[in-house]
Amino acid sequence: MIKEVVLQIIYQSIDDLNRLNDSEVTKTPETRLFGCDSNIDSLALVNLIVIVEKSVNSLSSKKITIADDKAMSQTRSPFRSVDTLADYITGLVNE
Amino acid sequence: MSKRVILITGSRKGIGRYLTEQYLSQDDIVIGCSRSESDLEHKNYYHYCLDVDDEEKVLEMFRQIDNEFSHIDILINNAGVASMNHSLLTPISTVHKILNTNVIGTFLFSREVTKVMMRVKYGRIINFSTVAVPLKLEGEAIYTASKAAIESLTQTLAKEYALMGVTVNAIAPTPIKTDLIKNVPDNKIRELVERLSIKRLGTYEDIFNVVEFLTRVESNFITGQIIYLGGV
Repeated sequence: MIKEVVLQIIYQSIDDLNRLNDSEVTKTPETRLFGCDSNIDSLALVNLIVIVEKSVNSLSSKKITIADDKAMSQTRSPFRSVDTLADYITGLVNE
Repeated sequence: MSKRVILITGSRKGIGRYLTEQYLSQDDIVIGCSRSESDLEHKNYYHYCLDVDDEEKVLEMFRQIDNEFSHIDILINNAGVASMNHSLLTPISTVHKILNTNVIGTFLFSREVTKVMMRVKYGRIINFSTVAVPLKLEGEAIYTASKAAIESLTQTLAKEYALMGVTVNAIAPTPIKTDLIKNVPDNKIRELVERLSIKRLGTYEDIFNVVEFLTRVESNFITGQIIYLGGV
């Protein structure tokens, strides 16, 4: 699965999140997801990760867990932005 | 209106079997699981054979349920094991088995079901504790520790899942005549019953009464509660 596909999955998931939470999270690679300048709160990030994971797993023959030990233990979190999340997921799927 | 979908762990026998049959009689769809096959045949009953702490099999089960039904209304984390023994004589394999089934199983199912429930901002999770926790029942050190963990888990998950529309509560039964207590000596059961305000064994109906109340749509303002039976 290429990164562009993963980005589209993340954007569709953001649409779902915005519908669920009545929010207006923007869909750009630079959208911050985690950290003091993030555009979404922690609960919304949890929701987003769950939605993205389900979508990726429905399209990929390899089933992934996004919030795994590797993700949680990294010094630079893969959840910092849409772009870093897309990189991380692409890596997981193509491992 | 689509039928309710109710997921019950440990559905093959005992309390889980009783709850399954009650919900089927109400025309609900019931998905059950246990380590062995079930002999229950019903058009609205679906059975999975797995260990509740087997993440891979549990995730696959949830994928199939999601694909088939796309919603789960109620989860009843009934599956549990116990082993009456003095702690000095309790093998570590027993410790692992009890903690894995009771705590990890409850956690895993709660986590995965909420991923489904949060999409519609509605769900009911019922966990099982025991009166052995407040009674600090000797001979059940790991069992009571595992159920104390479930009580804490219930209260914390209730807070984490509240904004997702999911309530999480626990029922803590007294001894009930099931396989779980078949190896407990009669005198031990009698001693425990003597410590209750209402001095009798519990029944399946007692359990269903509380579970039914906590899982009602109207019970949306009740979460994080542990309901002990028998007046402990």
